[in-house]
Amino acid sequence: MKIAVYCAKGSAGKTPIATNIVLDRGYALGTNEPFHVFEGFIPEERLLALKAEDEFPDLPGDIDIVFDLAGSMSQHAYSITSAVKQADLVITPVWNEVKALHAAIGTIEEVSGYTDQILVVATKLEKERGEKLEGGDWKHSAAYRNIKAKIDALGQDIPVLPLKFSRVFDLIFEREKSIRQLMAGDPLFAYNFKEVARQFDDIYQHIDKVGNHGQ
Amino acid sequence: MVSKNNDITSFKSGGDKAILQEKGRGGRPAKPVAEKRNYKVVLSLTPAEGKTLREKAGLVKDATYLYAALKEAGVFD
Repeated sequence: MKIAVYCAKGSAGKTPIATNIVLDRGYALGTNEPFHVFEGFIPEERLLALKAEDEFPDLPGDIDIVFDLAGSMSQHAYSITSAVKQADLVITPVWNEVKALHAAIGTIEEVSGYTDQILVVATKLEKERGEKLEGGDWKHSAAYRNIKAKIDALGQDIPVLPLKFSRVFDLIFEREKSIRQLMAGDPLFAYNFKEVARQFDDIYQHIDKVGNHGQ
Repeated sequence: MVSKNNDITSFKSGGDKAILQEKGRGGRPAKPVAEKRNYKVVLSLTPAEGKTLREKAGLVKDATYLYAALKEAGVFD
């Protein structure tokens, strides 16, 4: 399974999403970040770090890898196009902010030229002042609904999954453990992060659904 | 759930990009300067042209296909 996590706007949550998948599932990790955090954190034999202008090699089908892609797709960003071309799924994280939404839509339009297997993850979700979520479901939050409306307006039937704002996305780098691994080791983490862990399980469910259809 | 090795060592070309890069790692010798293809061309296409190109390129990368076509047409002679 090859997954590209890509959005032209930075700070959308690409690296935390990519890293959590790698830590949970033992995937390899490809990155074009010039100053990545993975040295010594991800085993060398599973880490492929390139410059933006380099191409990722075409990897065989039995390699599972997540590409964590920085920058914007252009004729010169061979790293992004070479990753997206071979990806079974492109995950585009986006948060509820005007510039971020604009960039995400541009990203989806670019990526759609290569694949229709796109998943949008609505990241950094927070409740508005006084907002109550029906059934505790973040899909009822105003932030999620705004993101979903913008993505639905593209008319491409792209699924959108919620991922609430959580300090766990800093912790996975501090402790070098995935959300579930952190929760397994600390009952307080298990309590605090159960909602975001459940949301990430929905992302895994989608990944597995795409992977099963591809077989 | 770690069920595979996912060892990609054999797919690395020149070494990982990190802030501090180890020197003298050996490996394949560098190409002569005259053989290095580092003059890059930007080519903008319409969506329809892009689609046609991708169909014709097939399993080969677009740039590889175009380069081969240009050579065959004698552009570099």
